[in-house]
Amino acid sequence: MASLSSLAFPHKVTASRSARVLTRERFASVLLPMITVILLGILHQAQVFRDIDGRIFDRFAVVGSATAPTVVVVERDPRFAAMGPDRYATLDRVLAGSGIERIGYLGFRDTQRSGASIPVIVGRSADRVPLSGRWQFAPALAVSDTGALKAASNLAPSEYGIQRSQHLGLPGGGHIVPSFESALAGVEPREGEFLVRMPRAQSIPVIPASQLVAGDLSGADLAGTVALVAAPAALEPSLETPRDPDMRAMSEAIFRAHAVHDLRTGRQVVRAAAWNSWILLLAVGLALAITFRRSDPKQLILRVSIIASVLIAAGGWLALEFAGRLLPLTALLLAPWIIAIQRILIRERRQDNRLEQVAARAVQHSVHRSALREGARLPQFVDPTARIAGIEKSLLIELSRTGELQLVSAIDAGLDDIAMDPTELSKELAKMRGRQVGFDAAALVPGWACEARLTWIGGAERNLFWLYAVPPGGRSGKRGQLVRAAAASFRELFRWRADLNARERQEERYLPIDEKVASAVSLVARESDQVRRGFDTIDTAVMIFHLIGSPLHANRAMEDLYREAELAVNETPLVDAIVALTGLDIVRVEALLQELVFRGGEMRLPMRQFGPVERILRVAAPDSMARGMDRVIVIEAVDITELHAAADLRQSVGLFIDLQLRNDLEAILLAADLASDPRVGAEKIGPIIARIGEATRRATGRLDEVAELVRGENEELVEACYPVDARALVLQTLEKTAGMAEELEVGIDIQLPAMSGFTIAEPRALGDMLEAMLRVVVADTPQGETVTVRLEEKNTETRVNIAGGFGIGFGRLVYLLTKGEDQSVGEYRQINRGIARTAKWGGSVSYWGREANGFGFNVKLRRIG
Amino acid sequence: MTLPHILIVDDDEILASLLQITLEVEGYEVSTAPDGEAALARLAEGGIDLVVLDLVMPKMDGVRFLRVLNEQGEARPPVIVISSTAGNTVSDEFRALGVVTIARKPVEPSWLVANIAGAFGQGAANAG
Repeated sequence: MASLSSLAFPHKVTASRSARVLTRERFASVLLPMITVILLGILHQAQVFRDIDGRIFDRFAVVGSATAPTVVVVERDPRFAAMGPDRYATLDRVLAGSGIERIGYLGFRDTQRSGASIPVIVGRSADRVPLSGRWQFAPALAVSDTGALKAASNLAPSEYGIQRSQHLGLPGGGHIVPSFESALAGVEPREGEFLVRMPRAQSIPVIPASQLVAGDLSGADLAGTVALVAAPAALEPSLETPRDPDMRAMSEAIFRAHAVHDLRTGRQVVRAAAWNSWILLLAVGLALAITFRRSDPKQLILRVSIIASVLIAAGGWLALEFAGRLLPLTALLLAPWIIAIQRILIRERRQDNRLEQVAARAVQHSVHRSALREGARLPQFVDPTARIAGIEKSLLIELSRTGELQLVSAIDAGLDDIAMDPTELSKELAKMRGRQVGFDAAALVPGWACEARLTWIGGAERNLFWLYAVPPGGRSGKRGQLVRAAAASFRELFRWRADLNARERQEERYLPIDEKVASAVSLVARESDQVRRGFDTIDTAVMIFHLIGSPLHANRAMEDLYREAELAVNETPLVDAIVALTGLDIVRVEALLQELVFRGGEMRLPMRQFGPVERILRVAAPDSMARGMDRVIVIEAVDITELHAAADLRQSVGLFIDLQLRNDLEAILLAADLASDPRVGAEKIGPIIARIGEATRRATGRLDEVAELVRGENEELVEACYPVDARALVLQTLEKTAGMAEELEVGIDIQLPAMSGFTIAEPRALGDMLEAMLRVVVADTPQGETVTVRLEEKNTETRVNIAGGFGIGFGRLVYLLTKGEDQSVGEYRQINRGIARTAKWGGSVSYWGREANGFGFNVKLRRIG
Repeated sequence: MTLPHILIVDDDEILASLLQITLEVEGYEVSTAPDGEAALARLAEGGIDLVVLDLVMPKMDGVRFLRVLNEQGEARPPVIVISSTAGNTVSDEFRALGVVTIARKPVEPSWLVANIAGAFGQGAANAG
């Protein structure tokens, strides 16, 4: 109902408050993610995530394809060690001769001059200058006397045992001392470390030096590579590396060879610079803030976080693979999850607050409406309840917290009636607290001649007990039920009150919100259920709609009406419902509703007829609603059958009086004329005057009769009877069943008088009964055959006979028509009801039936003219 | 000379008896019947010159009486209808059924007498 949806006027104050809350929420939704990523950045810079980042790198470091080795490891094997003093020079020459570009001696080199024309690097360990961050080479080693280049051979410290990085260069002596690997790879030395990739597929050749010197490997293709000459000890597995974590499976020489290979191939990885990390984190934080602000984090947490994680991981891989940068992956991967959880927690907190407010309001609304919100008023309710239930003696006792007994109210009884020591009684009553059932209390009040019961009706605040006596008799069972129901209601009301007070005292502050809400919902639902049940007892069909036209609640009578109109109770909007119920066009209905909504008040619309009942539709919008307060529209299908019956009664009675009095007036007119006519003999005057008297008395009698008929109250109209036109009624019945007969191809032989007098009946009840009878017979008649409907009017009676059909056994017919109105169904129920009413009009109904011979109904009614 | 014989058909016994006296005073011979069936029986006996008919009656109402009378096909007397349910003009259907005058009760006795006399005159004219 678009036209109505725009009529809800938001309250200005609420709107302003909402706007403030919205602004605050928007601000928080951006600020908090940024604070989160800043904190993550700080933790990253503090190297809290260094190990995790390293382990992430490890996963990348060992995968990937192999490339041609650019490094060979030359082992100074024992045979080489046993060779002459010029073995290093020889080795240098051999290596230079095989196309090696550089030779690196790891850790040791004798003083012989190099015999090669290619650079020879000697790696020597440097010492860290305490508290300076710089390094210092031992003086003896600061300058090589062999002409070899010096380089720092220190391994970078392992990270939690894993050797995954190496120095590029070390600061010392005013310049950067290249690391052994940088020098051997021939890269420009600079301060810092790099992470060593070591794909599992990548091989590093190891050649014994003795074989090279001896010329045994003259055919090996070493051109373009560099040689890392290492002692046998350096080739012993000693390092835990990404390739084999938790086991020392890689030698120092091979690790260094991988490092040199990475540097030579440009595949070394460095950790992202601090400023790069900050930019990345802030960008991710901003992106997540925008994403979560535009969506419900509770629903999207998993999806968004997983997608963000995948994107970050992919970005990390791309940076590693193509830019040689290790991003702050741990911080980046944590960001979406932390921000999402943070958003959910904030949202949960907000929801909890709202739920708590709503629950508290609902409970207050329910309990404050209760008549028992003040415990002092209890006797005002208990005593009348007792009297209504027929209780002769009643004692309402309160047991205080100190164990004292106090009489709250009493009917024809007192505390003296209780034959038990007060202290003992207090103990017994204390045991009953919280029990939902009543107890036999005959021993407690032996002086009471009647059955005595004791039941607890208190709540958390008051400990009340109701001792009552149910007098013996046939109704004691029902009385007992009534009292038990009343006691249960008192207990409920007290429990609600106690619950509300507990909230007000904030005793329940620390209760989980779900328990609070469940408790409140339970209270409201119980009350709502009671209201609904009360609503259902209203005979009039009533339905409540929200201002926007969506259905809120329908009582049972309206549900039945909707069923008859083939409408869905919970789905049909107000406009559609009114269109379907009234048959008015939608434009007109919308215009009427708009007027109603703006101005308030109510209107009445003609309703289509569903079933035998005639109704009008009352549509009401309380005036307060027009001010935007109570946003409900109520529709009510008002049964006007009785009003119509009353109108029919007036019309029938008027017609009856008119027709009957015309006869009487005619008689009086004739008699008066004769009485004054001189040609009439004196002997005839007496009888003529007597006829005047008869006509007058008859007219008076008819007026009295009519007055008696119309004196009944409206609700008795169905049982009331008055002069009706039986012929017109039968014709109406035939009209109603014509469609059915035509469909079943059954003919109807109609025998009616041309004129009809007055028959005593209630037209609707008689019409319903005749229609039901005709339907039964038509339905039972074979195709092509005929049903007879005959109306006969005799002096004092009118007869309607409906006959035909295949017939059913008389016993079966009797069974169907004597089951009683409540047990019978369909048309038989209607006939049953009609038979009972016919008797009240002074008529009777007889029927007969036999299989294959058909069956029929004879309705005999009083006729008065 | 034989007096004209009028048959009054009305279920209202008081009214029928007063009509009978009124018309007897005017010099007619009068018979009464309480419903259509009895009237047909009386007509079958013969000698009826005019019928004064009510419409609403038990057993056989006035309209049905007129139809049956018409279906018998014999010479039928003229009919004056006086009824609480009647209008004041004779419809074509009633005219075809032999109704010469129709009036709604109550009617002035003088009107009735005049119309009966008129009906006889019309009958005499028709006969002549």
